[in-house]
Amino acid sequence: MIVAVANLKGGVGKTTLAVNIASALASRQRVVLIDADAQASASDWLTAPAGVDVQAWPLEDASDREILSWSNRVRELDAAMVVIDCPPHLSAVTGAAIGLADLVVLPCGPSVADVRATARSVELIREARKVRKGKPAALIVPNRVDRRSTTGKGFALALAALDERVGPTLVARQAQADATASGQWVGGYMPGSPAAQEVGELVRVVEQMLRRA
Amino acid sequence: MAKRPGALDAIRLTAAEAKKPAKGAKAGPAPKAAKAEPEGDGEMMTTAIHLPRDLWNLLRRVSFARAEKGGGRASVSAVLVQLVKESRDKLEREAG
Repeated sequence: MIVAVANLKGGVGKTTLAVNIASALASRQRVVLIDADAQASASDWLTAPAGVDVQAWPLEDASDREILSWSNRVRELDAAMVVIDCPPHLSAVTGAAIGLADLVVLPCGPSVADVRATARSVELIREARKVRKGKPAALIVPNRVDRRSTTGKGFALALAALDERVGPTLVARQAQADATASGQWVGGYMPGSPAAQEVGELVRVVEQMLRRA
Repeated sequence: MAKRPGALDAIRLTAAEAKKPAKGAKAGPAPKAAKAEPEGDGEMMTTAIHLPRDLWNLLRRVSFARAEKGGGRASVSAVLVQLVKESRDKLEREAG
């Protein structure tokens, strides 16, 4: 199974989410986390937990042949689960990841710019579904939300207007920032914390959607 | 220079390719991909390095070319390990 973590806008939390999802899934199976971002942020900061094989596979300014070669290598990976951390722009590698994925996870922060970029990302996914018999599934994840603010409270409802499944909310928490700073996923850094529990709930939804994919 | 494919082109390319049977597909369980990981003398380390973009692209192209030729997964790490091993004596002397 292939999960792409994507959004056409940077700074929404793609890499953090990709690392957390891959690490949580690795407790039950071998996972390959592909860092497809030329900034190589996932492969840069993560101390990979057991079961997660981090590979840096960026793809910039690629020809048709290079795109096909990259995607064939993804398909031929010997792993039960592949998580692709996509770059923060409309690129061939983002398209290739969406063209391969069973599920695309779209983190979205509580800002107008994030929601607009998420809407554009959803349009790209719908283009893929036209040629992939309805695949991939999509899961929008409200990320770094401040529940205390008015924006936070109405945010999930606003995302529902994009007409795709909206996942559990990930609240802005210090534990996640500290985990990132220490190069770990939040479940490894502070197991049982509210941040880790939220990621656990998200991964349950991811697994449920993959079973139906 | 020919126009480079964008995101939509990449979606169509990968979707069309996915409809074809995987290369070397046979009846029965899929074979494991040939190992292309670099071989070390002991424990392996994963770390990040910073290098000029043109050198990164060259390493990447070499890794893809070797994978195309020899099979298995493209590995920039394997290319780097080979280069370092070839210069190991010189590096050991410099390190003292």
